Amino acid sequence: MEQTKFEDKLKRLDDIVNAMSQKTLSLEESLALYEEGNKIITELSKTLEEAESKVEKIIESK
Amino acid sequence: MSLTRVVYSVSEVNRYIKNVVNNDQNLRFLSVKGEISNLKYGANGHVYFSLKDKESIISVCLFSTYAAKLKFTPQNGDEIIVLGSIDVYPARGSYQLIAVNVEQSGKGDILYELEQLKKKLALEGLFDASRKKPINLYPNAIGVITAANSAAIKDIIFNIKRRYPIADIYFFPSQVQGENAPKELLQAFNLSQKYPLDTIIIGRGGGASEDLGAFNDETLVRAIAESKIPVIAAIGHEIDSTLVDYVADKRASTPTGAAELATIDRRELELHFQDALDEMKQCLRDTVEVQKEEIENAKEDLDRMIQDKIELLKQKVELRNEQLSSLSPTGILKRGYSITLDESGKPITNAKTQKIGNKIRTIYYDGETISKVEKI
Repeated sequence: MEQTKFEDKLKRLDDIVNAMSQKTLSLEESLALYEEGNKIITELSKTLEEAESKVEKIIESK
Repeated sequence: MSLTRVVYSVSEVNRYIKNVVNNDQNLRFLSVKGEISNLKYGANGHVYFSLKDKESIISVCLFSTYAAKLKFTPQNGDEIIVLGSIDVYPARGSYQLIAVNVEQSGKGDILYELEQLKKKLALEGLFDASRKKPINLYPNAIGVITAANSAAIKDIIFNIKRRYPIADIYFFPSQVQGENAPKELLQAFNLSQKYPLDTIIIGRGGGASEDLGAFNDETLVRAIAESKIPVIAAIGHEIDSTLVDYVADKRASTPTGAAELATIDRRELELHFQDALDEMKQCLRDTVEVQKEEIENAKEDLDRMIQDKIELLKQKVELRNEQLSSLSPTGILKRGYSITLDESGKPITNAKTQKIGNKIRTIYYDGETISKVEKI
């Protein structure tokens, strides 16, 4: 199944948290990942905040 | 010419019909064959149910006096023959079959046919768990097939918007009961396949079991089995399962439940974000802590190395010092040797240079003595 953009970002966030939990990263790497993760969370929250499902009624034209 | 218009009250009409019905001998003590559905037991011992065949339905009332005499316990789906008379209930303008006896007449045809169809489709593997497609909980678009202006569509839209407003909703209205329902549901379903949907919800709110017939339609069931898009059945019912329930990838017992199966809840996501943030912060703190510790350790190592070096050098100096002092004359004197000088202060290295009576000076490590040579 194709992943949606939202799902891609969410996956990237989880990967970041995982990578940081390994505790094998340098401080610079950790800081860079933290910033990226923080940015993703802000973006995803904003997407949820601003989204408004569009409802479309579909009737077959005869 | 003037017409005199006669206007009757509702009660008058209903009473008239009741009179006609009661006086028609054809409607008295007749036997009617059909299948039991919507069976209910009243508190007073009366039994109420519907008697149906493929096309029609009639209400039946079996009063407690007669119900007590039955030789079997009626159940939904039982094929029976009811002996009774038709009577009209004027207050509601409805008619009923007032039963005096009920006989069993074998398994209900409709249920039997449904059971056969279910077996056939199951044998073909249409209901196999291995065929079930996973539902993407982060959908861009969800298709909904249900009745227009129904509580079902309202509930589904409301809950999708509440949980995951990123998903757009494509609504394919269709009749869900009645003669045209199977055809309309199939048309709507086939139409939905042409849209880029992540999930399809097909269903209706609650309905009596005979109203769910469209969801047992073989063509519809086969179409759902062939769907490229995952399908969630949302057929509101308590006990009966329709074939659409079996063939769908997931089933919910209410439209709201289907919306929940189709989406992740944003509240859950927000909690997940908070957890992710907390965890990242903690990891960052830990990394800083680890680095600090490493620096601290490195400093200690360095200190120790310098200390060791100093110690080593000190020891070397000490050793050299000892070697040196053991080589110096004073060092030799300390070990028990002494130096003897003649009167001119030159060291005496040879006994033959001395004569009896010479005054000689002996130097020890802590002082000196003057002596006379007495013998050579």
